[in-house]
Amino acid sequence: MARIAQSRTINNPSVGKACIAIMDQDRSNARVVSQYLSILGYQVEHIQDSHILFERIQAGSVDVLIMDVNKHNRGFELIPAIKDIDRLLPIIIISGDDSIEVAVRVREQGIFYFMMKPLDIEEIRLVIENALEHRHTQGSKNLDHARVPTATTMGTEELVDARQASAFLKISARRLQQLSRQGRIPAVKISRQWYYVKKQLEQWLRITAIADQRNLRAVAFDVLDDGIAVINRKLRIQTCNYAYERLTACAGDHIPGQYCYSVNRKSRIPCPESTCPVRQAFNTLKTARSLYVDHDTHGHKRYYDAIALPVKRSNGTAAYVVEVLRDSTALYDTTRHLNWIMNFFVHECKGTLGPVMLNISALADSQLASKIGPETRHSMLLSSLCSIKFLHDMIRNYIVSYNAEYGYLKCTRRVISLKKDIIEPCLSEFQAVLNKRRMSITTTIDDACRVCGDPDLLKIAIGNLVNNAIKYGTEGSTITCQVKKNHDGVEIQISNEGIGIEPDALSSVFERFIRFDKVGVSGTGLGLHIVKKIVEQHGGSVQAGAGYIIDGEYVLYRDAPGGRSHKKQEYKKFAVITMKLPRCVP
Amino acid sequence: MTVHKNIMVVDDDADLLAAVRIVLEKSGYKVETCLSAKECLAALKIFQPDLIICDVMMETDHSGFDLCRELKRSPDTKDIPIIMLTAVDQKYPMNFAGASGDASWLPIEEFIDKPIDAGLLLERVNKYFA
Repeated sequence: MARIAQSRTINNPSVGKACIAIMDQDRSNARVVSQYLSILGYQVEHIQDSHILFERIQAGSVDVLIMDVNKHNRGFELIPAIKDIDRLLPIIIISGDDSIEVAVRVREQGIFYFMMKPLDIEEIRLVIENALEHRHTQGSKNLDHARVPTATTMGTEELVDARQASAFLKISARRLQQLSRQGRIPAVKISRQWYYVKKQLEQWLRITAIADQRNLRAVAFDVLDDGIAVINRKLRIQTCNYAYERLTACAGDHIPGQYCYSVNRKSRIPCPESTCPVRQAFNTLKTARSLYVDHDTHGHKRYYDAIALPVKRSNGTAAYVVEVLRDSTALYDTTRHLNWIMNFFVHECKGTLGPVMLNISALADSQLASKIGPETRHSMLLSSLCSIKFLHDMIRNYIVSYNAEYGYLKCTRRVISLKKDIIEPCLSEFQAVLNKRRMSITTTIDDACRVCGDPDLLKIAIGNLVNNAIKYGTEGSTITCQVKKNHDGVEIQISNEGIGIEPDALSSVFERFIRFDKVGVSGTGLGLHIVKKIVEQHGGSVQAGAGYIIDGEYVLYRDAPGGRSHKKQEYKKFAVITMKLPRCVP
Repeated sequence: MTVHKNIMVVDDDADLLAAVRIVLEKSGYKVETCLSAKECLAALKIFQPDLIICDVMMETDHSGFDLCRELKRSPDTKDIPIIMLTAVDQKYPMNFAGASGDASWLPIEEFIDKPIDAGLLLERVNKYFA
């Protein structure tokens, strides 16, 4: 239990949806537990009648069942009936009755976890998280294949007498008896004989190991991030560390004897002999590797690298295989993401170069060029120039984004004129693009308006905003750039008529690689993200807005008559980005 | 040179459409351009092209494929040759078949990689009217 309590927590955003039923005759205990679980965000129902319980399970409204069992209420008799309705429902048994009879009877039924009263509140939390994870993974398995190994036969196997226990723990019978009498080891006396539950002994060993400085190896083994298990020829786990238990999605209660990871998950990931690293290691006596792809509670893909190492006997055969499972999801995700960025970048570069190459090569071809008039030639050159500008900005955005991401973005601030140093040079850069799209920009700005900032970075930020306004703006329309000074700083607002931004997309436009499907618009998906990064470096903030242009007035969606539902097609849309920079401190 | 042959160009990049139009028109072809697959299907009702040049990624990542399959299935358009002009490189691990959900994903005559110069484009196009 100490082992579970000290383990790391699993963040579970799906907590709110999970429904936990508690069946306990002890009302005060049930109340405490349900209060605690409600605080954690679970939906909790205290059920006292078994008929109601069956109804709830039948309706599928129970995700985890916590049930009190003792000799008198014989709650374990309900378990088979519950299993008939929902075979995969995780059942957590709590009991104030430490008799072996209850423990054995309960274990025979194949429950998820067994807890003794008084309850450790942290333990409950972890067990429920594990149970929900288990339910999710098991629940989505194909039922035809899901011969989930249960603790059915293990219940009796696990019960050992003093002789077996002393052999298992490698301590003398006398010492064991002494520990049992002193209550320092979990044991039950039945007709003058001591009995032990093997799993509890194992846990006791681990806890002792953690306390016992002489057994640091066991401690190291148990706290490793990689899952490690010793697996026998029947592909069953002999022993494993906590990380492996977590990967097999079972609480520690009945891990030894469980099938190894690949078999446990076989209905999801077929593991034929040819790809099973454990069997390969047994057969070839060589290290075998494999990659498992799995899904976590939230449906995200997880990648596990498995390495199976045979433990050879002196006669050359292997008795056990040590399987190491390493969660390589982060590595795979990064690689995939980089690949994606690479592909995307290449595609955008090639796409942008398409018209440039065609235009320039046509003008260079003497036969074709002789047929092209001066006006067309000008438009071809203008188009090429714009494409090259776009390409340049895209490459720059990648570099800025990279620097911002790794904290290399240098922000050298000085007092500058917003109009002279930033807006004017920036707009002149875009003149060609504006001409091409027959667009113009009106600026409202005070000559004396000054800010304290890095001129290069601010030019990039404003440039990205103007670029977006042109890209997503209506051809021939006017972009407005308004600079307002107020008591706490400067507000720069760039708005354009065009396709606008969908109300539900407003919050995510500043995220990296966000690009909404727009016909005829290419981009890096980095522009606005960089604006945000730069403005944040200056201690400012950015905000996106969008709405309808009603009678020449820019009305935000939320202020439009009828609110968001006001989707009249005849109104033109606009998008606006507001950038706030703090007051200039000389 | 064959004159007055009709070519339809489908691409979501207006700059590319303009450039292709100039190159082809100056070489004697009649050109119709469309910005999307949807537009192309509508235009086909009034315009009878002798060749279609089409991009891959337009409204969606694979709308070009969808368009080509549709054209090749329809009895009216199945005999029109299609050239796919795209920046999507076949050499990069982009799963076309997976994206379009169809293993026989390439119902087209030719695949041309973007960017392409005017001379090469004309050479490829002229081949169909030799």
